[in-house]
Amino acid sequence: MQKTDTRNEGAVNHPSAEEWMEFLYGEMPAPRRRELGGHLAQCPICSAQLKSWRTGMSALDEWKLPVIRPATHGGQPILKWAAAAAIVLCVGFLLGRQTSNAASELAALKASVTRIAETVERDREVNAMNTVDEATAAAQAEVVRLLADYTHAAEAVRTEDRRTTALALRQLESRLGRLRAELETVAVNTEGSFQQTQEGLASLASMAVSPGTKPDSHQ
Amino acid sequence: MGRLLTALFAPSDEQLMWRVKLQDDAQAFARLMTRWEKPIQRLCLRMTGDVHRAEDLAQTAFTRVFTRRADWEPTGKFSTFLWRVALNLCHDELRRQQRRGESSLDALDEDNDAGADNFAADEPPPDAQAAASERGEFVRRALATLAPPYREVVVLRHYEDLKFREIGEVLGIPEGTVKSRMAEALTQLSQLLKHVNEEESCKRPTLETRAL
Repeated sequence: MQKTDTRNEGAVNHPSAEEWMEFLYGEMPAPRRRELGGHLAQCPICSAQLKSWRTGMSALDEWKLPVIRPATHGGQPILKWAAAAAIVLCVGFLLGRQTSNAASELAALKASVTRIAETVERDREVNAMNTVDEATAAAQAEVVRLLADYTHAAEAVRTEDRRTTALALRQLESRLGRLRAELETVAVNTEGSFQQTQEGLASLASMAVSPGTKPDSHQ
Repeated sequence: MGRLLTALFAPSDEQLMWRVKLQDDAQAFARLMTRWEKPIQRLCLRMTGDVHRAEDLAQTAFTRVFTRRADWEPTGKFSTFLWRVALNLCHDELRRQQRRGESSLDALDEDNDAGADNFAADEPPPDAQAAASERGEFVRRALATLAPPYREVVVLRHYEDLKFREIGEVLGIPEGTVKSRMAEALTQLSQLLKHVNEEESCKRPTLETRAL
């Protein structure tokens, strides 16, 4: 592995590897770039290092990607439109050979290609929308699941509340029963007291009448 | 002219994502997908080396962005958010491949073989084209041997043309670290690939005899 840190060999200050990366990828301000260019012309060490890095960069450019088809579901629409394109082109070509000169043939072919390109583009947009629809459906399913969880949780809370309320009502009823029994006892006792008082008053009244008869007998 | 005007007045990625976040605007999301579909596919392909997985990963990335739209901060760039989601998926895929003992090179070989067969069936490629294809194959193999932290920096800087500062934001690392990783990656690549340039006009050893 080659050294990539800032180097200071003898009296020469070499730019750091980070600075050389800015230099190589054009992210360096012009004045500093000129300075590094001057250093590069005089420094065989940095020149060799940069040559090595440029080898890597130019090699990277060799990797050309294959044509990536647009993201579709299964790729069937593209195949379908490719087949349609081939058929239309063949038919157009044959018809053109039979009926037209070279210019009109070319114009017809161009028109066919344009129409097919438009159709493919529309199809691609529809596929993109389908992906969005799927994502929306997934999001909605998630919302429904969360709502179901919430409903279950709320139902559990309500059941617990009902159970607590029923228990409290039973306790209240029991206390009311005891209170009613005590009130009845008090009422019975009070009635007995009234009767005793009444009897007492009657006997007092009879005693009051008896002394009144004695004076009459003395006369 | 019409295209220029459309581009000038087109809503920014952030404006579209804002609509997606607040109003679940499917059309706005479709426009974002149209803009970013290919770059994300390219990123996944360069990272995994597998065309079919790259397509799946790109679709998963967009689905994930939509389901996590509430996590997007309007103060940040949409592209940073999207690159990060896609890169995380690529890392997950690379870890899965590693656990299964797979190599992305296997898939590459299959794809390339199939591609070569199809090409050969139509018309033999010119020599220059064949040589370029072979050099590209070397690069793919070399890039796959780089550790993911180096590979992702190479892909984002060299192929997707992000600035070092932007890469730092995507990866959540200092800009200086990005540059030093880039230098290290180029050093490793140049060592792995120097014979590709050196032997361009000489006899070229076969893939099997070149140890990468």
